[in-house]
Amino acid sequence: MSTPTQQNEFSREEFETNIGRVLKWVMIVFFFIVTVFPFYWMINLSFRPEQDIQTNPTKLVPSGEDIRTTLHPVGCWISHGRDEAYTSDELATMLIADNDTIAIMNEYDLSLLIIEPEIVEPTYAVVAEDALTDAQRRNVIEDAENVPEGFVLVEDAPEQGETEYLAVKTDEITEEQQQYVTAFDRVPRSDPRAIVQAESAIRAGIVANTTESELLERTNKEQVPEACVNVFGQSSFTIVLVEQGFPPFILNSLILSLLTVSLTLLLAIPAAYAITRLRYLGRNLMSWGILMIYMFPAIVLAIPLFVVFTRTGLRETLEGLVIIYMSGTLPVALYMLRSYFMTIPPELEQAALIDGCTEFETIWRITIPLAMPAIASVALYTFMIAWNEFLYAFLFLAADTSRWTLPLGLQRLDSQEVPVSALMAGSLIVSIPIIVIFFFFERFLTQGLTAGAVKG
Amino acid sequence: MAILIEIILWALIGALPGFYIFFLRGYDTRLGIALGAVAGVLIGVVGQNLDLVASPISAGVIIMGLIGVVLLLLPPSQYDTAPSLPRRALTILGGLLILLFFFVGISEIVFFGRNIDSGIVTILILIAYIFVIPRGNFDEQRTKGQRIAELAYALTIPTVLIVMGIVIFPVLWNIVLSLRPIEVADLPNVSLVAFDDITADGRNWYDNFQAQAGLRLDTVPCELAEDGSCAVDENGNTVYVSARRTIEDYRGWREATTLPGAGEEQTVIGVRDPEFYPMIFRTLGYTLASTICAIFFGLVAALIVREAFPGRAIFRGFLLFPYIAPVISVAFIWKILLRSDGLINGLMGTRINFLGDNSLLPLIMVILFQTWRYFPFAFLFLLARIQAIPDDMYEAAKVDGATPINRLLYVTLPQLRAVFGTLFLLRFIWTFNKFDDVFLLTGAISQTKVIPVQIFELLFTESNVGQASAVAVIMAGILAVVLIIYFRYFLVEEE
Repeated sequence: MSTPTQQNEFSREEFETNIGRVLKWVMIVFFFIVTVFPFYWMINLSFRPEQDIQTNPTKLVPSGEDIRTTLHPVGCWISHGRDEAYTSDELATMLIADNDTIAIMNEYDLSLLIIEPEIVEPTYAVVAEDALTDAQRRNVIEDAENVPEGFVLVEDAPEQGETEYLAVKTDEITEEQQQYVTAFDRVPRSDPRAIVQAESAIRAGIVANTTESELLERTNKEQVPEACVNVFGQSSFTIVLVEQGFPPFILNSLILSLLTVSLTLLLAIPAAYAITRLRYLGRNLMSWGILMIYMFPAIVLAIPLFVVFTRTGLRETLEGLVIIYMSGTLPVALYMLRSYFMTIPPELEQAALIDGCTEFETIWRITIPLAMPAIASVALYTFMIAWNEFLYAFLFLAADTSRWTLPLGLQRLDSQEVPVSALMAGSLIVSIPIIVIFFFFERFLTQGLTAGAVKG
Repeated sequence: MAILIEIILWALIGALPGFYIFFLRGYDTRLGIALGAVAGVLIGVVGQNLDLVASPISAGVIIMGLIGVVLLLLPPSQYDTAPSLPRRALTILGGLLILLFFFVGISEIVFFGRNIDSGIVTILILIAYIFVIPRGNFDEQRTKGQRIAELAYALTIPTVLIVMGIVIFPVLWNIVLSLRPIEVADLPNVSLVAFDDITADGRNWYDNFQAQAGLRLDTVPCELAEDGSCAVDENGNTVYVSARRTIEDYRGWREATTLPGAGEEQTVIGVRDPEFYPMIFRTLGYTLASTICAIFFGLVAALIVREAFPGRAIFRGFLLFPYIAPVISVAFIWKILLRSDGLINGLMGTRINFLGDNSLLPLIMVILFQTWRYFPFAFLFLLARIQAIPDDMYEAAKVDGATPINRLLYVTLPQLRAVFGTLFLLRFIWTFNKFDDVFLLTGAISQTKVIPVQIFELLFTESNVGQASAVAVIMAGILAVVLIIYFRYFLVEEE
C-alpha cells in the first residue's frame, strides 16, 4: 500500500508524461505542417491554371485535369522545341507568303513573321542580286552606298526607323553582315539562319527569298501536332522555361556554382592542410581571423566591392561573383575541413613523407582520399551557398540579362504581368536541385552544418 | 597618404608572383618577394602614370615575365644544375614574349573580354612558363622549419588574400568612402585612394553621417504675448516659437520632438531624417524578436526529436527544409500565401494586406518569416547538444523524484546554456545584417525598412555611395556596441 503522498507524486509523473506524449504529437504535426506546407503550396499553385488560383484560393489539391494541362505544353516543348510550334495566326501568314515577302525574325518571340510589302510603309533591304525577284527588281536603288558586293538595295516593306531583325541564310551571310549578327544562340534549331541586325535601313539584311514550301519544310510544321500549337501561354512551366527564357539562367547558375565549388576546394584543401599539419608563425591568427568574415554584413561589403568591380570591369562577370562567393565559402570550407583533418591521424601523412612523397603528393594521395566525406559535404555546402545567393548577383549582374543567375530570373517573375502560377513554378525550379541534393545527402549535410555553423 | 597606399598595393601585387615563382622553382623566396615588390612598384606607379599598364592583372603578368628573365641572370651557383643553352633561350624568349604581349594591354582583352576560355588559357600558359624557368638549389640551404613555414604560406596565401581582400579591405575602405562625397555616377572616374575631397569646398568630414543620423538640440524661446510674458493657448499650454523660423541654419532639419519642461524656453530635438532613428530601433527590435523566436522554436523542435518515434529521421529532414531552400523561393512562397487574395486570407475569410498594411503587421510577418526560416539552425545545434547530455543525469533526477517538467527545467535547460549563448550571438549578428529576407518578402517599404535595406536604397535608388557607406559604418558601430554589451554582461562560458 502506498501512502497518499507517494500516490500523488506518482500520478503527477504519470500525468506529465501523458500530457507530454500528447503535446509531442501535437507539436510533431504542427512542425510538419509549418515546415512542409509552404513547399507543398508552391507545388500546388505551380500546377494550377491562373484562373483557378484566382477563383479558388483555398483549393488544396490540384485536379488531374489541372496537372495534365500544365504538363502538356512542357511535353510539347521537350518533344518539338519552341520554334516549331507556331501560333495559328503565324501559320496563316506563312501560307499567304510568296516570293515577294520578307521573312523577318521577330525579336520577341523568335517566330517567323511574314510581312507583305504593300501593306506597310516602304523601307530598304539589301538583297543578293541573284536572289532578286521581279517585284523587287522594280524597286532597286541604283546609287546606294555601303551595300556589300553582289547585293543591291531594294526599297521594301516595314516601318522606317526601327531596328529590324532580318533573317539571313547562314551560308549566304557576308562578312559585312557578320558584324551585325546578334544572338546567334537564339536562332531556332530548325532554322539554318542567323539573325542580322539591321543597324540602319541601308545596312539591312538580306530579304530571304523564301517560298511557301521552303518555309514549311524549314519549320517542319507538319510534324507538330495540332495539340501542341499555341499552348505555351497555358502552362506555368512553359511560361518560365520558354517565354521567360530560364534555361540560360540555369546554365549560368550551374557554371557559377560548380566554379565556386571547384575553386573553393582547390584553395581550401591545401590551406586546411597547412593550418592543421604545419607549424608556422601566424597559424592561429589565420585560422580564427578568417572566421571573422561571419561578422560582416554582405550589404556593407557590397559597397566597396561594387566600386572596385566597377573600376576593374569585373562587375558584370561571373568570374567576379565567383571571387566574392569564395570569400564567403572559404571560411566555412576551411573550418569544416580543419575539424575533419584533426580526426585523421598525422602518422599516415608522416609515413608518406618519409617514403619520399612531397607535401603535394601527400595531400593528393593520403589526405584527400581520407577526407572524402568532409570534402563532399564542403562541396555540397558551397554549391548550396552559390546556388541560393541573391544579393551580390542582384547588385552585380542586374544590367546584363545574358549573365543572370536563377535567383535573378526568379526576381523578374515577381511582377504583375507574370501569373502567380509561373512565379511558383519558377520557385520550384530554383529549389528543386537543392532539395534533391539535400534528400540524398541529408546525414552528411546535417553533420557539416553543425560543424561549420554555416552562415545563413 | 594616397600615394603610400598605392605603393603598398603595387608592392603586394608584385610580391605575390615573386614569392610563388621563387618558391616553386627553389630559389630564396625573400629575394623573390623583394624583387617582385620593387618590380610591382615600378610597373604600377611608373607604368600607370605613363598610361602603360592598364590593370593590376596585366601588371602581375608583366612581373612574372620580368622575374623569369631576371632569374637567368643569377650566378651559376644558385642553380640546381646549370641550365642548358636551349633552356636559357626558351626562358628568355618566353619571358620577353610575355612581357611584350602583355605590355601592349592584350591581357585586358583576354581577361575582361568576358571570354572565360581565353582567360583560362592565359593562366595555363603562365603556369607552364613557371616550369620552364630553371630550378634553383635554395632548398638545400634552408632549415626544415623554414621550408615548412614557406610551404604553409604558399598553401594558405590564396585563401587569406581572397578572404582579406573581400572582407577586411572593403570594411576599411568603407570607412574612407563614408567620409567622401561620392555618387554612383562618379564611380568610373573617381580616384580610389584620394582623401582630398573629404573637406573640399567647405565640406565637413562628417557630412554624410549628418545627412542620415544628424541630431541636434536647440533652445527656442516662447511666443511672447503683448504684455511681454509667454503666450498660452486655449488649453493653458505655453506656446513656443517654431525652431525652423527662429534658428538661422535650421534649413534641412526637422523638428522631431520637444523635451518636456516648460518655462520660458523649450528644448527642441531636431533630426535630418525623421525616419532614421525609428529605423534603428525597428532593426534592433526585429532582430531581437526573430532571434529569440527562432531559438525558442528550435528548442521545441529539438526536444521533440530527442526521443525516437516512427518517422523521426524523415521528420528531421523536413524540419531543415526552410533553412536549406533558396531564400528567394521561400520568400515568394510566403508572399503568395500572404497575398490579400491568397490562401491565408482565403481560409480566414478576410482580405488583410499582411505585407503592405500600414501598421506593424508587415514587420511581424518578417519576424515570423525569419523565425520560420532560421529555427532549423537553432534546432540542429540544440539537438546535437541535447543528445550529448548523459542519460545518467536524467536517471538520477528521476530517482530524486523529478517529474518530466522538472527534468526539463533543472537538467536539460541548464545544460544548454552555453549553446543558447552561441546561438543567440550568431543569429543576432546574422539577422541584424540580413538584407535579402526582408527585401524579398516586402520590398523596400517604410514599415519594414531595416538598416541593410536603407543602405541598399541609398546605394541604388538615391545613388549616394558616401551616405550608404556612412550608414554602413553606423550599422557596424551599433553591432559592435551590442556585442560589447553581450560579451560584458550576458556571455555564458561552457564549463
